[in-house]
This record gives sequence, C-alpha cells and structure tokens, in this order.
Amino acid sequence: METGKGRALSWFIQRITGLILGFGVMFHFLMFHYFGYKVGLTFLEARDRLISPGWITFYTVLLGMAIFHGMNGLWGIFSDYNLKRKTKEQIEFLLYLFGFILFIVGGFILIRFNV
Amino acid sequence: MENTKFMNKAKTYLNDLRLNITTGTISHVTHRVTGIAFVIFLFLHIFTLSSVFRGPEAFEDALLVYDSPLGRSLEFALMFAVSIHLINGVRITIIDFLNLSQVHKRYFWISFIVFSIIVILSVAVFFRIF
Repeated sequence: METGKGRALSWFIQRITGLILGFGVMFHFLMFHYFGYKVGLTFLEARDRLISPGWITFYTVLLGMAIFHGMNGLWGIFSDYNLKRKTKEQIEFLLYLFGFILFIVGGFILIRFNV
Repeated sequence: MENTKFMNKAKTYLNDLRLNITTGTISHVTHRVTGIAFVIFLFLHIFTLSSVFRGPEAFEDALLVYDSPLGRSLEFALMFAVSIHLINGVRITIIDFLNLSQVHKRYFWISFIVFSIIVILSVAVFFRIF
C-alpha cells in the first residue's frame, strides 16, 4: 500500500471526479436512451449537437474525467497488490499511455463532426 | 513460475471472498468488476465512434451494429452496471467524507433499495410498460 501526498490526492480527486461523473453520465445516458429514445443516431443529429462549443466542452470534460477516473481506479486496484517497483512503473506508464490515446482519439472524434 | 504464483494468489483471493461474504466484500467486488468493465467499454465506445473518420455512412452503420437483441441487452447490462457503480460510489463517498464507517452496513441496504427501484423502473421502461 502506498502512502503520502500523492495517494491522498489520488483518493480525493477520485471522489470528486466520481461525483461529477455521476451527474454527467446519468445525463448522457438518459439523453440517448430515454428522453430522445429512437433506433439509431444519424450523423446529422450528432453534428447538430457537436457544432456548438457548449456540447463540445461538455463532452471533452466528460471524456477527460471518465478517462482519469478509470485509469486512476485501475491504478488504485494495482496498488493494492504490493507489486514490485519496476512492474508498478511499467503499469503506470501503460495507464498514462492508454489514457492519452483515448483522450486524443476521443477529442478528434468530437471535433470531426464540424468538418 | 510467475503464473502459478499468480494462480495461487487468485485462489487465496477467491477463497477469502468465499469465507467472508458480507455487505462490504460484495460491494467491494462488484465495484471493482464493474469499474474494470467500464474501462473496457470506454475503449469499445471510442472505437465505435471512431468510425466517423471513415465518413457519415460508416458512422451510422457502426451504430446500427448495436441495434440488435445482443446490443440492446448489452446496453441494458451497462445501465445496471452504471447504476451499481454510481450508487455504490456515492455510498463510499458519503461514508468517507462524513466518517460514517460505523454504519456502513445500513448504507449498503439503503443503496440496495435505491438500486432495486432503478431496476424496476428501467425494466418497465425497457418493456414499454409506460
């Protein structure tokens, strides 16, 4: 188990992002699967939303928080198992890499609808 | 060598769980399993949406893949998993921030009741009862 400032900060941010994600994900899910329920989403409908900076901001924040919460959560699971220092560093590197790739690809998807 | 070590660890872990089935272990395990599933889902979600790079038609085709009985069921499973993780996460946060670990079992049952209500409502919505 790790101790210290980094660990406490990770715990705290995990709680805060979790609470914000709770509202964000509920909204995201209800919007697509309940309020606007229908089969399939068309490209034009998606573009109608993603043409506004407000929605792009909302999705970027949601994406970033989801990735951070997920990767930090996985790190929390790994740090429960007293792994060797080197293994832990490799896992941390992979988590950063995956998070970075997801954020970049997700971000490009969000701005892709505008072109 | 490493593999057997890992298997032994996993066996110990599962055995410990089997011997300690309490509200705490149940919420701990479900929280982890659903959490890992979400990270996998996040990759799938972004992979699906990345079809937009291949044009509007490819985007709509990719989304229609999930308009099948399997896709609908997975969506439903995802909804349940999100509810479990969300309600349990709120429970953990309340207990952590307000120092309520003495009464965590009561909070488990409260969150279980909230989850049951969500399940009943969403089953009703799924089968178009209202």
